[in-house]
Amino acid sequence: MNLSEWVTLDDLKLDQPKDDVINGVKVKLTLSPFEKPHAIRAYRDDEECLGIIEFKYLNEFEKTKAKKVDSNLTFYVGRKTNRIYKIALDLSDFSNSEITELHLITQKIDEFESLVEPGDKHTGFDIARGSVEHFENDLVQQFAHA
Amino acid sequence: MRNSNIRAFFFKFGNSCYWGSSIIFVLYGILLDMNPTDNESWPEFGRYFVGFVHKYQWYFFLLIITLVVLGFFIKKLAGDEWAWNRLQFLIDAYQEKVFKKFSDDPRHFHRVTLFQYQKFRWRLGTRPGRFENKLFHKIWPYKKESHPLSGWLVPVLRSGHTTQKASSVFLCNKDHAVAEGIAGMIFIRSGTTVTQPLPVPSQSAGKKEIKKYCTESSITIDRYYQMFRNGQPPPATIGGFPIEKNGKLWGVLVLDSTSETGVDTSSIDDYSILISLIGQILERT
Repeated sequence: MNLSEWVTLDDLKLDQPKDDVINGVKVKLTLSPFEKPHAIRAYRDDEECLGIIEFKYLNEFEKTKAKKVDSNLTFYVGRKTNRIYKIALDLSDFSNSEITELHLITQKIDEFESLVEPGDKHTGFDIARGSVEHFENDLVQQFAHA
Repeated sequence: MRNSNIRAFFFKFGNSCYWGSSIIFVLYGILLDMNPTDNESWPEFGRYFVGFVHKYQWYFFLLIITLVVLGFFIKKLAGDEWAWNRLQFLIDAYQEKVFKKFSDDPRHFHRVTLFQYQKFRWRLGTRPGRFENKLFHKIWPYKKESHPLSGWLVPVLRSGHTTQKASSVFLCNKDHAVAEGIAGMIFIRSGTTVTQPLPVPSQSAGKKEIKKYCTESSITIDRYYQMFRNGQPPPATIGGFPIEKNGKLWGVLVLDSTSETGVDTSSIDDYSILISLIGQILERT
């Protein structure tokens, strides 16, 4: 799949309703529509030699701040919400054949989530991680040299 | 419910203060630049007026500052009427789309309500609990987790013009994680919440059935009877999601329906564009 254009994540059904009972009330729980990313796109920035993954939320006008989570990985997260809007992977250390696995990204999303959302709560980070895993092969293709 | 006429009046008043201060500022500058004593051809009133402005120039300056500040705060409190009208339109449109299959039913059977979280709410008319002293309750009707500063969800907009009157305020104490109703639960959880079909009591239902309904819909028996008195049929499904303003939790949008198939997760998941618009317009209020 070509990820250079926005691809909707709603069809992937990454946020399945969960049945629960809260104070005697039987409910179905899902994420807030504001909390979950609704679309993804990815591209290679040849000038900076970066692989970029972007997520689109309902509230897309939030200002972001850069969080360097690894020597070659930066997350751009919402100033107020800590939602991941953009992931920048420095590709200068990788050759085409080496960009085969993107475990580092999902692992760092996990680590970042445990920092800002302690506990087992289902959050928008799960959708971000799930979508990176789902589109892993497409992302590798997108980040490879032309 | 939000009284749009009063709000519109205050918004216009605030706007008038704001723009009025600009006009006074310009006139003030022109008048201060004049010296009426130099020009004998001026009428006496004109000379007197300019002299008055010169004499009390600091008071005029303070008046302008006061009008600017007053206008700003009145406008802020009343909210932008344009944005509130658009929000009402969007909520009506949401109700029409999501409950399309029930278009033959009365509108108040299937509603969409926007609740705003307010930290302070003066609340009177609560009833004493079963073991509470009635006299003491009259003097101090509040509890540890339920008092004017505990946090409340207040309805500000509701779909349809026939359903605007009935309004329920729900307790929503974030510190004690105590919440009333599904609205309170959504706010405390900060996620989309939809009930399973509720056991709606029949007209001749006994206390046991009513109590079961109240437990499963997270409301008090008093509130159930209040709904009954208002002629509002008890909803069979309720659902909703938290609403954000500038990245912060602002309130909740609640959908309720008298049909068992009225509200489900798709009632929210399939309308993300509408929800996005509601969020964006809310940022202008």
